[in-house]
Amino acid sequence: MKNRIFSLFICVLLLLTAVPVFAHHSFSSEYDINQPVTLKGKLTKLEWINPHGWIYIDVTGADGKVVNWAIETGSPNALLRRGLRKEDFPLGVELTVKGFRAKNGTATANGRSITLPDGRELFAGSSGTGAPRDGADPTER
Amino acid sequence: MEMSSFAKQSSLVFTFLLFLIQMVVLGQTPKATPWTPSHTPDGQPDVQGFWEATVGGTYDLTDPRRGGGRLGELLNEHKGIARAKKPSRIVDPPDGKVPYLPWAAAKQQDIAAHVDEPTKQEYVDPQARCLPDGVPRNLFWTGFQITQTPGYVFIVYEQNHTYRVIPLDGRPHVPSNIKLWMGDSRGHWEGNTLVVDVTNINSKSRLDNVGNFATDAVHVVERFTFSDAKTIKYEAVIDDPAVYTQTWKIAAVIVRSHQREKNYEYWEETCHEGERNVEQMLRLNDSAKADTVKQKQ
Repeated sequence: MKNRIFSLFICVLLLLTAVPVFAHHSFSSEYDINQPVTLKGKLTKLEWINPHGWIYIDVTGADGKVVNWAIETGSPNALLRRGLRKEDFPLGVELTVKGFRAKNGTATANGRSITLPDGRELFAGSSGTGAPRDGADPTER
Repeated sequence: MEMSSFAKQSSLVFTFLLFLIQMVVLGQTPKATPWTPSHTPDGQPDVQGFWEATVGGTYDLTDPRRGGGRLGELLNEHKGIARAKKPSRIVDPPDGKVPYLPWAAAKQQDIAAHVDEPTKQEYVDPQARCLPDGVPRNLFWTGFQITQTPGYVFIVYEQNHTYRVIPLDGRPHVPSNIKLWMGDSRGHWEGNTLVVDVTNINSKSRLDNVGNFATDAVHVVERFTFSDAKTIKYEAVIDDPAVYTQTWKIAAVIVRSHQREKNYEYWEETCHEGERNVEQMLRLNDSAKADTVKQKQ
């Protein structure tokens, strides 16, 4: 009960500190809302850059083949203001990523949430891209 | 009796929630009293600080969406939820549409038809290439900070290194052959309204994502009316006889932002350093080519 109240407090605080950082492109010109993906794999590379960060994970398919997926995240400023740090993503960490696949059919996705091994689910997407209001973004107005 | 830490947490949350409810109630009551601002040393109304449009997003001037892009609407339509359309930002003409000449209307419609399928370079929004949004679009894309020094108003935008310098001394515009991404601004105060005359816009960026546009002869006159300590009633009249049948006007409400965040500051957002979305958008049909894009980085 204590934790729940504290979490509510944090949620409220997050709402008040909403960051109006809009993406520089339209979501639907690049990603397909009809292709939600859930990807599990080890982090091989992290690019903490503008305008979008990128994380790369090795995903083993049903056929046993390993495909390296590129997942777009929010900008470093947006992630930093949400309390995320580069150190939250050490290479080799096992991540579960939910997002939407690129329209061009490559192993690329727009990441909405990332679940860490300890179970914490973080919103890592871009606010204001026109991305789905799927509740993943705690700052969405 | 000493409060347990649980009780302390609960009462803190409760007080906070009461504060929020109060803010919502107050926010719904229109302010009737006129506002007397403090003034800068050179006599300008002091309006410095962080600001942000209440309805952000630059997807479509005639159908503003908070957050831009169509995906949110597509997802809701998928669930059977119809989106409540917001009023057009365009308040004149009354139909809320850009009053194009026929050739210009055709051009805009062609871009709009390809906004989600940008199969050619020219369909890609320059904003996606991290190019400056120009005037007035940048005001809706990102928050901005107003700084005032004697004889000047500066607008610095939160993203992409864009800014505007607005001298107030009545100097003429730069020569017409000089074209600038963010235009050339000249301002003066009329009471609590900052009037800004903008010319020399290169118009290489669009007015929104769906292809609304002007030429580099466009003339924009903005009025930032600071109606109270926290609110700007913004208007911009846009004039370009090569493109439009008449001048037209947009209006918006802009409010102070980040007031609860002590020492909020802008951090560098260098869009150009890692922009890759445009290549993705151009729908590389060859997967090998797509992989090459990734490896190049």
